[in-house]
Amino acid sequence: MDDRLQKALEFSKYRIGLFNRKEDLKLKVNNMLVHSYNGGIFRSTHELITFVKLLLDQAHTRVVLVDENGNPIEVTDLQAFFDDILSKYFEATNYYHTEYTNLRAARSVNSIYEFIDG
Amino acid sequence: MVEYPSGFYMPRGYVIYAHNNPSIDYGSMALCNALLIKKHLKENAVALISDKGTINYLENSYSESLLRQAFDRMIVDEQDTTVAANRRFFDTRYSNFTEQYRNLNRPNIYDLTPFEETIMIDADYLMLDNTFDAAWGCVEDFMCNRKTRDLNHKVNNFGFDNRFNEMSIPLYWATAVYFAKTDKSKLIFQLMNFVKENYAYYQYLYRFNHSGYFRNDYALSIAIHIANNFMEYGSISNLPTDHIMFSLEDDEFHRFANGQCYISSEPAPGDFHLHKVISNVHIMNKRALLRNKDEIISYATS
Repeated sequence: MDDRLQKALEFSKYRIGLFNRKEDLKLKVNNMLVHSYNGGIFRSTHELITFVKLLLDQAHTRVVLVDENGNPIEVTDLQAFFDDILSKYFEATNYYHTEYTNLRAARSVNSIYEFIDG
Repeated sequence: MVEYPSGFYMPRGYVIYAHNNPSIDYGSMALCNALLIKKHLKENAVALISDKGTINYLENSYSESLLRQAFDRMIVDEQDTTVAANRRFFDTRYSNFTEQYRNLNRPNIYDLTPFEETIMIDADYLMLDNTFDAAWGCVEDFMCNRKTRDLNHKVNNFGFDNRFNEMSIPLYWATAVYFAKTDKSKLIFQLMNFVKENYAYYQYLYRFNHSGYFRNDYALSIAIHIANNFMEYGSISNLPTDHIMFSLEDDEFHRFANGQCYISSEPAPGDFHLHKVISNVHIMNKRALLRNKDEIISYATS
């Protein structure tokens, strides 16, 4: 096979590996953002965090929030809820950052997957 | 038979069905998965529903302490062999075999589960993360997934945007189902049994291809459709993760290490893609999963 084609195909393998790994990470992070509270399922998104902060700034302590499945869920301690979703957010994004940094440094298919022989 | 502590009922837990056939050791798969549940999840009670043959095989193959560690309850429900049929299984693109498909008694779960809140999962749906901890105590009394995603992140693997056909109803997956003991859940499982008893009729009514054996996914989807007043949307919510990730029967499961699966997919012959799977995954190549059972057990018990 022509060297140029060989190199192009190897690079293509690397690119698809990188894409798959990034998508895997996004899914993992999305799962890490899930927060259950009082029978509701929430996700620590920018939108939720900002909205809850807005409610806190307006001195609300007890509110009803709509969860991922569209159910109204009463939040009785808004500050504790805010702390929990923020903590989940930091945990998930820090994990994402660490893994993504390693991924960006990878220059081959093997290093993308951190294969270890033996 | 292993003696388990008295008191049959528990508040929350997982139920795994496993019925061995001569070629596939579903019991060992269930054991691996139960141990992963114990390793990764806070709510981690597990009940095995199986037949005497499979349970005897497990007791002869593994120590009593390992079985006790994995399963909080072992429940015997003999298989309904009258409707068992043959199915072709694949072990990568290059090998296949035909064997009896025996996982037919899932609609009975409402009566058999020892839990008030149950997550029923396939033996080969490996629990690699703790996402399902968010499902318990939910205001929804029945949850399952419609979306799927393969390891190459393709989302429409079975055509028709996860429907039976382009004109038909949404396809829900019985790979993982959460339910609480309520009238609604009971109705859905009763309807599943009714569909099973009249499978040929529903095949023509809903126009799905009869694969030659009873499909729990199809019965569940029809039951949901009927229970929802023959409407498409509105009654069933997603589990905490909005899709089922799965590895196709064409894929090879090379290695299990540190709670991660190293799998290669082959979308076209000779076109190999490598994957490091770090989230819950349904391994459809069952023999490949079983080739890694020792590593999974070793990791989950360490």
